[in-house]
Amino acid sequence: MRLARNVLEGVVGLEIFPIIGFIIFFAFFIGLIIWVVRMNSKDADDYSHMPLDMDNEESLSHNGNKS
Amino acid sequence: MELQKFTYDNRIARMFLNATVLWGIVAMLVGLLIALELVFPRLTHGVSFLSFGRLRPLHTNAAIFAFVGNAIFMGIYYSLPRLLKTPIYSQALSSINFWGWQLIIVSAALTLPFGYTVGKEYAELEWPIDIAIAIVWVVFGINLIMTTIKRRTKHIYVAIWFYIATFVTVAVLHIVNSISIPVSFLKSYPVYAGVQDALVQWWYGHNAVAFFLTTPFLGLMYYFVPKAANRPVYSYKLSIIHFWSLIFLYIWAGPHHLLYSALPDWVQALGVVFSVMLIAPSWGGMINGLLTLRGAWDKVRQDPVLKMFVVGITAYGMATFEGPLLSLKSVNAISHFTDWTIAHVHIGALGWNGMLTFGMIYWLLPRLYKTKLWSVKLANAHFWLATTGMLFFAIPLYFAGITQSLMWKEFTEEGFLKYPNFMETVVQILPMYFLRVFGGLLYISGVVLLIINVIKTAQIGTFVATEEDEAPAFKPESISGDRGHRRIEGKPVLFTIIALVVISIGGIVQFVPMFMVESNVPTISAVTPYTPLELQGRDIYLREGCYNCHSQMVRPFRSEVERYGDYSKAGEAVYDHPFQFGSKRTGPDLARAGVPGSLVHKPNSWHYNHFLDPQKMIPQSIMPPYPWLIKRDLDISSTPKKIRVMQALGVPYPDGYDQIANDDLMKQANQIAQGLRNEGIEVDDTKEVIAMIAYIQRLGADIHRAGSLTSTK
Ligand code: HEC
Repeated sequence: MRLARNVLEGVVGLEIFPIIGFIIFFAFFIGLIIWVVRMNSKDADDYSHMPLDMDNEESLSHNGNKS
Repeated sequence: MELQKFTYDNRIARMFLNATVLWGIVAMLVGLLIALELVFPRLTHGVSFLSFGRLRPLHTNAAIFAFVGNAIFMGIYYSLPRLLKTPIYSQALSSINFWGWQLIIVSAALTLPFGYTVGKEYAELEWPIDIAIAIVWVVFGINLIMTTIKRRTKHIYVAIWFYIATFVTVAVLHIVNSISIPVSFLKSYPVYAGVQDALVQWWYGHNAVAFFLTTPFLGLMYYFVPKAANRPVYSYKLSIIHFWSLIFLYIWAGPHHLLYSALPDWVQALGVVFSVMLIAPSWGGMINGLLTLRGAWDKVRQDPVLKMFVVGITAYGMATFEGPLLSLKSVNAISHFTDWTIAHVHIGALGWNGMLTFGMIYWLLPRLYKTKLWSVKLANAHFWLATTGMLFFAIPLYFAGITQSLMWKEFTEEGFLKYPNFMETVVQILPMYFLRVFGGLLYISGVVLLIINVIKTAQIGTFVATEEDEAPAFKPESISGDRGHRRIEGKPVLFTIIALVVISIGGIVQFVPMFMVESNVPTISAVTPYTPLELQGRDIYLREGCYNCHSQMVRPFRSEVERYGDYSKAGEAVYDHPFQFGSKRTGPDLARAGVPGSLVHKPNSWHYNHFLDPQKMIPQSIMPPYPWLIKRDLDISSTPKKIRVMQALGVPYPDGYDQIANDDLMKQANQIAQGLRNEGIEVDDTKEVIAMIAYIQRLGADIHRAGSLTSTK
């Protein structure tokens, strides 16, 4: 505890935390975008129909039973 | 491929539906009562358990955890098995989840009005109930994750990601924020103090909004809106981006509740940056919800369910636009501590949570009872009552908040406060408080119509206890080749862990330096622990919920320094378990109430008469009378234990002080009481009011005595 405290005490300029925080998020966000862009659109379309596939009752058009 | 047969259990969804409606009306009626108390402060005169400070926590807890909480479970227990094509993992766990949750609500209703409270907003419940909440929540989580593991679908639909994020985050928030040391069965002190407690508390408080009122409802939106409109969600890819960004960003934003407070600047800055960024994923969700209805607008016009969804999602968009706005320091300087905040949360609660819940219920009723909704007309009437009720509630309060704040800040040409008398600024906005009552009445009458429809639909229909479905079995091999996001989508446990990591980052970056680096809370040597009498008085302050109307945080503005005194420092609150900064100034700030010569300072006899009868001292006051403080004897048997717990928390009372603390207490009580008797007030040393006065007179006294009270005039 004390050791950790001493080390952190030495961290200068806590003011840059917002910038670091922003950079972490930005990196995360870019990764996310790349991930999603590379995603197969057909799959995405299938997934978006998941609530509608379920039911018996009033499903209109899409009845795609995959798998 | 071979199809397996299985059933969905509607009973658990129906139980939660009924509980939602029941607790919904209770929460709103308590809200109505406290709204009335603000315009008729003597309404419940002398009945301690009906006083504003006691009931306001009951109202917020009931609205959040009882009304919205049951609605979350209702929607999840209905949608989860259908999205995964499997029954809920364990009916026994479902029952424990249901009855446990109701028991928690009942114990909240039986403790909060009687003053058993930790004194931290939205986390008021005492430690045994906190433990029960943790257990029931984990039961829910096991049911959720095990059902997801036992699914027959390859993929986990986006709604369920939101459910899982809700589960993990609320568990973390609740446990970290509730850690406290018990003094007795229904009394405890939080381990954190002062600004550190404030940081943890608002990390919790803000994320209770995020992960109890927002993410589960976004999940429900992703199921029920497509269902009701019979169209797929507008963009699945958008939902992925918006999900991860939302949970990542939200967790950092808590400090925006503490702008201009004694919290270090760097933490405040973090809160602002992340709050502003939050608008993007929030609006991503709103857009996805609303555009799901594209091409279905003709249906929206007729169907009360869709109408409610549209208004609900729009309210979500408004509230999440307003949130970042309120996080800007310049706006926050005006909005904070005023009714603006109350208006803001009710757009969220009445609009987003309320409307979505009502929409879900109207959609579920015909399906649960295999019949038509008893009256669509009534549902439409409910829609209009709810919408106008919400507007009549919120708009006057926006007006009240801004008006009062500007009055607090206004100076005359000579450089004096234009309205040095706090009550002037209250009287000005009382008409708005009346309008709020009217808005609340409209909203509640809508819920009465809902109740009629629930009962009638149940009567004309026959309950479908179970529904059958069939699907091929899930083959783990089928997802072994998946990459990228699909891979984690197929693995609920991995998904849960990743979500946990993502929501932890923000908290860790803020907490670790706050707790480790001493320079974040500069100590002030003049600040010493409370005397035993003051400590007891402080516990009465918590018990009565004075923090619901009074802040103890003078912000560094000329208008506040002028009105109250020197601005608050982090080092002043180091022995405050819990902190009492407050969030709303229905009455004046009290941080400098013990500083002789300040505008807020009053003599002991004034306080005595004021607690007995505020309206006698200040005719237009809306503070409730506290006659029971005058009558009741202070329980001093708890003093030694309280001192010992405080010592365990690091408050530097001398060794063995617990044994002699009551001697000091009696001495100080005698001094104060004797002073009152000298002024002709008949009072014993032993009364609660004496401890309360001792505490009030201590507020700000330390740094004043040290001579550090710098004049900024
Ligand atoms: C419904 C909101 C409300 C609650 C609850 C409430 N107060 Fe007040 N309080 C006010 C208002 C409004 C005023 C200003 C008018 C007045 O002095 O009566 C005030 C004034 C005061 C003052 C005088 C401050 C000054 O400078 O004149 C003190 C001290 C005080 N309250 C203490 C308390 C304590 C202690 C409790 C809890 C036992 C409490 N209040 C509960 C609304 C409230």
